[in-house]
Parts: sequence; C-alpha cells; structure tokens
Amino acid sequence: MHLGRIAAPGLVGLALAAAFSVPTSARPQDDDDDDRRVLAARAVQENCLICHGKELITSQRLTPKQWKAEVEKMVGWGSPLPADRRDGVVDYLAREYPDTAGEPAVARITYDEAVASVARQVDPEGSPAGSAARGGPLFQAHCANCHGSDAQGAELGPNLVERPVVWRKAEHDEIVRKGRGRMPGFAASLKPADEADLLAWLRGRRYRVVPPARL
Amino acid sequence: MAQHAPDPGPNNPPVRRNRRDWAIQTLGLWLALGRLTGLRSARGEADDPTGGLLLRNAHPLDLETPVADLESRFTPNDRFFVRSHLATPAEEHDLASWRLRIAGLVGKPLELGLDDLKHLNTITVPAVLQCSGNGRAYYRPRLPGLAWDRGAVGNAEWTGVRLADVLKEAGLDPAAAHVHFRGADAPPSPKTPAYLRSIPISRALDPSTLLAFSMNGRPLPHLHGGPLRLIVPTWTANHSVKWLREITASKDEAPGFYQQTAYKMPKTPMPPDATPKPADLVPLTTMNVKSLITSPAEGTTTKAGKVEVRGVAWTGEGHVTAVEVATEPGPGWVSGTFLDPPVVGTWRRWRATVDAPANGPVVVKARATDSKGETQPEATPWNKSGYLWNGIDRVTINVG
Repeated sequence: MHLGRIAAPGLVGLALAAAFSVPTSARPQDDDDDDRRVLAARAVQENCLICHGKELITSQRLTPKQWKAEVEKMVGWGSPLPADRRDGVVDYLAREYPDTAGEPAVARITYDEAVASVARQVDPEGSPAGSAARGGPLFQAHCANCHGSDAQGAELGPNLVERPVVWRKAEHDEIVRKGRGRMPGFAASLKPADEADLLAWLRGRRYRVVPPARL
Repeated sequence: MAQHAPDPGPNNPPVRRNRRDWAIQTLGLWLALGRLTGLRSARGEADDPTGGLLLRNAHPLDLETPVADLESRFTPNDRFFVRSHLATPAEEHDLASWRLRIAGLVGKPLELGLDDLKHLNTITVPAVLQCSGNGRAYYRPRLPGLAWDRGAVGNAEWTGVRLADVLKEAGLDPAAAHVHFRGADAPPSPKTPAYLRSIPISRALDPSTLLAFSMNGRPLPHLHGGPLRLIVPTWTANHSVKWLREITASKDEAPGFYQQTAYKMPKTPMPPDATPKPADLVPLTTMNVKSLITSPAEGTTTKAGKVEVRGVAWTGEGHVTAVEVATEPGPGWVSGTFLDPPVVGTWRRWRATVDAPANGPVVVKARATDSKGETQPEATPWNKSGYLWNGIDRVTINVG
C-alpha cells in the first residue's frame, strides 16, 4: 500500500492535519480517550514536527519503554514538549505505533519533487528589496526570543540559518504572516517591507559552530 | 494506521545456529516470540510506476532507492538514496564565494574555493555508499531509527581530490592523529548535537579517501552533499560527510554524540536487555559482506522452470569472491557469475539461474562471500542501533 506522491513543498500543513487522525466513538470513557488522543496528537504536531517530518514518527514500531526513551531523548535534544504532556504523548505513540503493528506504508517522492522541496525559488516579481541593516533589529525584537539572537535556534524556534526557507520568499512570508504550530502570526505587527528586511538579514547569515550546551 | 497481526510463513527464515552466534540468536528469537515477519508492504516496490524514491522522512530528506533501481553498475544520481541527519541545508547560492576551511594542527590554515580544489590532482574512485542502518527494519526485536529496508545503498563514480593532498597543501602537523569534518547540515536546536565526525589519520591519508565534487560525471548534486563531500570507500556512509565546510586536524577524535556515542558496535553481540559499557563498544567503520537480489521483484509471478536471478554484492575490506543463490523449496545453492571484476570499495553485479519448482510461493535467496572468508548469516546478530544488517537476502515469488 502506498500513500501516493507528495505534491508540493507547502503541504506541511495538510500533512500535519492528516498525520495524526483521531477516531471518535459514543461511550463516555471513549470521549475521555478521544480528548486525550486529540491533546496528544496536537502535542506531537506542535513539539516534534518543529524539527523533523511526521514519517520519522509514524514509521517507528516500539514498545512503551522504547517510546518513553525516545521522547526523553528528543526533549534532551531540544523538543519544547512540556513536562505535563510527556506521559500522554508516550501513551499515544505507544498505542498508535506499537512494536506489534505491521510494517508502515511508505509514500513515494520523485527525485525532482524532492529537489523542488528545498530548492531556491526566485523572489516574486515586485518584491520589495530588503535591507539587512533594518532586518537585524527587527529580528531581535520579534523573532530572537524563540529562534535565538543568532537565528540558530532557541527554546521554541528552530535554526533558520542557511535553511531552504530563507531562499523561498513566498513560503517565508506566509509563515511570518500566519504562523505555524506554536509560532504566532505577525501579520498585525510586520508589514511586507519588514518581511523583506528580515529575509535580507537572514540571507546574510552563515552557520557558525556554537559550542554545544551538552555533548 | 492499519495494524496487522504478524504472520509466520516463508518469509520467516529458520535461524541457523552456528556455534558463535547460537546464544545470542536464541535469546533474540525467544524475545521476538514468533513476531518475525516479512516486509510485505514495503516490498511492493515494483508496483509503483512513478519510479519514485521511498519517502522515509520529508524533513529533513531521507529517501530510499527502490531495489529494482540498484541493478546497474552505477546508480544514477536521481535514484541514489538520500540521507540527511539534522537538516537539508539551503542549496549553495553563490558557488564563487563558497569556501572549504582547513584548520587545526596544520602549518598553514587554508580557505579553498572549488576552483582551488580543481587545480589539485583530480582522481575518480568507484565506491559503494551504504547507510549503517540499511536493513534496520529486519532486526527483531525492533528498535528505534530510520526503518530502512534494502535500498539505503548505491554505487557511484566519485571524482575529486585526495584528502591527503589537501592536508599536505595545508602542511599537516605530524602530531595530528584524527581529522574532523563538519558540514552545512546544522542542528535545529542548540541542544541537538552537531553532525561532527572524525576519521583516524591513517584513513585520512589513504589514497582512496577523497573530497568529491562530482558524482557519476556530473557536479555533485545538492541532495547528495554538493558542492563537496567526503568519500571514505569501504566504510559505512556516515563517515562520508556531506555539504562539507570545515576540515580540522586534531590530536583527538571529534567530540559530541555523533562520534562518541553513535556509530558504535559491541565487540561481541549483546542481547537486547544488556547495557553495554563504553569499554564494550568499538567504532563502526568497515562495511560487512552483503548481496542484494534486484530481480525478480518481490511478489513476481512466473512459470515453473528456469528463473534468472540478478543482483549486486559488496563488502568492506577486500572484495566479494562468490555469490550463491537457492530457492526454498529447492535442491540447494548454485553459484552465480559476476559481470564486473573485483575492485575494492565498489560492488559487483552477478547473475544466476535457478529452477523454480511447480506451483505456489517460492523464496529466492542469495548469499555472498568475500576475500576475508566472511559469508552472510541467515540473520545478523542483534545490536541496539540496528546497524550493519547483512542477513541473507530473500525474495518471495509466485510460481504458477
């Protein structure tokens, strides 16, 4: 069984919705179960899919003990999953993807689609030319709390430096405007000229090795 | 997700109990308690007409090659598997300003552009790259990690310059014992370990260790680590660091998770509930002997009679000396013939003809032997990272 081809780069939102589907039923304790599942599925979307795709999770076949160890490892590696949600997420993952389940279905993607998903895109015609000198302070003011003052990632926001999104203006602007997961949208506070300035600043950044917080 | 009860059947090989692995394999089997199961859904590869790669992860990109695409001597660039540990970085947007930094225990730290590298002596080396986790999906009990099936492997011609020549240009200090490599695939969080790897100086100075800027005659594609990557033939592909940025000569191994904790194997097989101590572990370097049946595809229907079986075989040190093929049921192993000469670090295509007995499912299996006398086992001894699976390859066909 194949899930079919991955269509376009911006399908992350669709994939998020489809990935962690939640069944419903009629009995009261099932409603509680459903609530727990909804909460856990959302916790996974908001705290795991910041850094990597859903397939990495849905393809696993692990015991509850193994799932607990993986979740703890991911928290140690920077997942902002709140402490009070961890047990619920472990239970959910162990139920949905147990070691006794059959092999995962695997989607297909052509090489060209994969290349396109990370390729540089030409800025839309008429895009304002941004200024990195203005973008730096804007980044510190609006973005650094989550993404770090060097944009290489912090508590809630991933590393943005030299990431494909920095060269895909339409995608960048949409995320800044509408937000994604735990990131709020900034449409009310940032204008298109600000988006262009932020992007100009991000494009000028190069990856610097930061001494690791913990080896 | 659909949940299937595991089926015992022709895809569950009886584990051969040779003396060396008996205890471990028995323990592994006992723990698995009949949960051995074939990989049916992942093997519907021949069904897909799109020719797509198997999507193990969309972000970062981890893509597996369908086995039928591994039949040729060299795997085309648009079929070769893709692995990204931490991120697929942005494509290099200004190649003219791209620089490779060489520093550490060198007399003359350098920053080299692509043109600088191309002015050095250029060589072409054929080499197999195989993910250490290729075949992880076959281990029982199951373990965490990318569930590669059989296609996280490929063979290509790599063109570039010898790492030894570049280190010489930089005036390598005799005190250097290791060489570190860092690429542009940066961690998503400051708490995530960087993908920092090192190799011992003896391997760094080996004439086959190269910095590659071409793959199968084309500029090294972005997904495969362009503009420059390390290639360490015969070693597992995690050493062949992609998107190279920095090379550092040092007295010590690289620090950090990906060198100190990951990519280690127990010296002797350990059961799943054991907790290995650091002293029990050794670095994972050379590949082990392995063969792959590229044809017939899983689930093929054929008439009774002669069946041509095709595939490739490779190893780490040395070269593959024999491939044998058999059917279950069947009269036993027959020898395959090679299409390619033995060359260290690259694979050899092979062919064999077997008799498919009349009617029903038949397992076609292949096993390779190498010049060090190593042969594939029925099932590789379990290790907690799921590395180096090299169990005998098996494909089920229907004879009707």
